[in-house]
Amino acid sequence: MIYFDNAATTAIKPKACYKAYQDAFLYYSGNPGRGSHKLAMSCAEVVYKSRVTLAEFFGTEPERIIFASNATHALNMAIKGAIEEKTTVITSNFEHNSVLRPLYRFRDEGRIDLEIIDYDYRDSESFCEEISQRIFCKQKKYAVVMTFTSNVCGINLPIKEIGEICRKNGALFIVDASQAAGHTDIKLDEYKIDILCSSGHKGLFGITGAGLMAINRSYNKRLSSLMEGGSGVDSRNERMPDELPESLEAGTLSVPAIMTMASGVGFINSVGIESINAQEKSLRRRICEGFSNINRLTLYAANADSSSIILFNVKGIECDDMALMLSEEGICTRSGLHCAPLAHRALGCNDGAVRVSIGYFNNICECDKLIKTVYDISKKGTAI
Amino acid sequence: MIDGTFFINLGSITYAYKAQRMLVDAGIKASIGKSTSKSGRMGCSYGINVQSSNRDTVFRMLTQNSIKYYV
Repeated sequence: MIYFDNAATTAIKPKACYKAYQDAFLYYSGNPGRGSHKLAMSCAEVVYKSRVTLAEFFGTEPERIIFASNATHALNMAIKGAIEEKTTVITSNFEHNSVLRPLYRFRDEGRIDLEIIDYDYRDSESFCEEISQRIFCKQKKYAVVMTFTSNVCGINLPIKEIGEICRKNGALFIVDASQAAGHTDIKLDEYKIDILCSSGHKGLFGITGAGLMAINRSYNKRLSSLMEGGSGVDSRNERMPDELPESLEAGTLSVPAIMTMASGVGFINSVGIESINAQEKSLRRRICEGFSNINRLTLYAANADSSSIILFNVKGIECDDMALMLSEEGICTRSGLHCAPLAHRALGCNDGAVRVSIGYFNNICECDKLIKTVYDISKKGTAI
Repeated sequence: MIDGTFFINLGSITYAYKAQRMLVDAGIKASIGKSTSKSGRMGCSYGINVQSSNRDTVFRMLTQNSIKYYV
């Protein structure tokens, strides 16, 4: 099997993550933060160590790492917990539904005003200028919720510039880093991000069920909880405890998810995030070059600053058929709208496209096999 | 209890580990402990058993590192 669906989840993990997964079952099967026996305490310690690893990775404090079950969960916590009523929320047309749907709901309930700004990757200056112009009224509350990297085509939005605009104007800045974490070095202060949300099972190499929210040291407003329940402390309190992270983490944490995610970050640190990024970019370039020689093949946003995602269609072949035929040849890609319909509309593929998402463990041979297979399919049409 | 040992209630297990690491790094013996539901503020909580003759220094270090404690 050749796996090119790393934007959905990384199917191949570093060896250290398999070891961490095994260790979680063998040695850390207790409940962290519940009780004081040895097993519970060793679990609590390994969870804390994981918080430290992740906090250093994103440039914050361990208690400001909030574990979640995926990026959608983390984004719901951030959006519903930090955005106040009557806020004007600005977002882009490159968002995943994990950003859009919570915002649509808030808009429909009359809690927020929602403004979706079209992003053109060839002119990010105009995009920043438009956001800057919209965040002008000092009497109004503003928030920006934006993806770091598009899950559809891999373009990077101008997060640093938007962060500056938000900080200058006192606007809350929430970033969806699901496709960037593990591919790009992200420190919250450097990008002026208030709250970062990410899955932990993609570029961070955790198991499915791993996700997190990282809160900037400078963000000191209390987030209201998305869920209430057991926290292991303050049981007589009718409300969730005051302190992070327990105030936002109701219920038992997934130790295997947390341990594998932290091991993944350990691997990234050992390899170097720049090396990972360079390798993925090199493979992406190779595939783009190969694809450019295939007649009837359209590459979307091919010239954008993208590290690991390629989006394409072949004229005359439905994207779902293409993905199915690639699957029959042992190649995993993903077709359709990728839970981000506005991005597809912006790119000119309203009916969907095929996404190839590269990971660190892909290699040149796999890229060449993909190019040849797409070439063969495109020549034969649907008759293969 | 060893002479010079005292318990500091820190509320959460996360802050208990954070405080323990900080004190151990500074050469002060500290171990994690769970306070009973009777002694805890609102039920169970976690804290650290600290072995030090200088309480003031320990509390000052906690404050300097924004670690809330309950006495």
